[in-house]
Amino acid sequence: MAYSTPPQWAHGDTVSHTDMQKYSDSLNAIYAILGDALTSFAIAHAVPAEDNDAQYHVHRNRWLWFLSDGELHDPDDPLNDVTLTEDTEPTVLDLRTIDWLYPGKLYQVTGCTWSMEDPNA
Amino acid sequence: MAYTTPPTFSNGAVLSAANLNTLSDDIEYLYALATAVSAPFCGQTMVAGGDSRYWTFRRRARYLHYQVRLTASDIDEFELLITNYGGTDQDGVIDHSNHSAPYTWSGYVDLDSLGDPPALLEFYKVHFVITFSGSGNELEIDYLLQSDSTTL
Repeated sequence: MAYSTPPQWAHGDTVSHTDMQKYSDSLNAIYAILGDALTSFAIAHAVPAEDNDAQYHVHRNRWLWFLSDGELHDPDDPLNDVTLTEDTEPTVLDLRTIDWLYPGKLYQVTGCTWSMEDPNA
Repeated sequence: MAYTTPPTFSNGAVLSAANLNTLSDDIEYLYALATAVSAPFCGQTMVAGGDSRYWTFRRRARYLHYQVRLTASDIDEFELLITNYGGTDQDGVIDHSNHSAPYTWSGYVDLDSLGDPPALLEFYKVHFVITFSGSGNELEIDYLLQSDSTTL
């Protein structure tokens, strides 16, 4: 399906199925190009006594997945430490429960074998 | 949220909130795809046989691409193993032939072909088991990555 420039609307225009179809067709055209760009690399497990098991994140997604116990640190304030306790393997934390964390904020996870932010719980 | 095939609009049909939300969600999905951070893969050089480190993926695509190079010495066994969390090792690539450097393993594993394929968004681990037969060994694990494409 080819990309089709979406319409420009004016107040009072009638919404036609032909115009709406341009949105769907264009989305499919973009997806056909970008869909193959959906690649994802793996998270490397920290090797005990070899790696420093510290991971830096820039907060972007709601959920933090992690393996094994650790801590979440605010580089700007040591009083903001959050304990990460593993219950299932792996465990997920809702980052919205941390009031000092905001999108774009740099923070550190230590002690965990691995950690990753994800838009999905 | 995954990409959803957008609705087909027809004359006279009600323009529903669900259909419009599908368009909005797909725009969000594609915007995230177009602006996502491209994080590098952290590989490993193995100089002794045995298990490599582990890597964890969250299943989002069908194909697991890999490239590994033997740059020094000889190898008897090369295994790429895939393990769902709570599951057992599954064979991704098994090569028990003898190879001498330089030699490269490169290709992809179709995750759907595994006996117990990880489901969408399920976590799984990948690691290598190596047996060297020479000395001065060097095996470079260059990359592991997921894609819905069979070509990179």
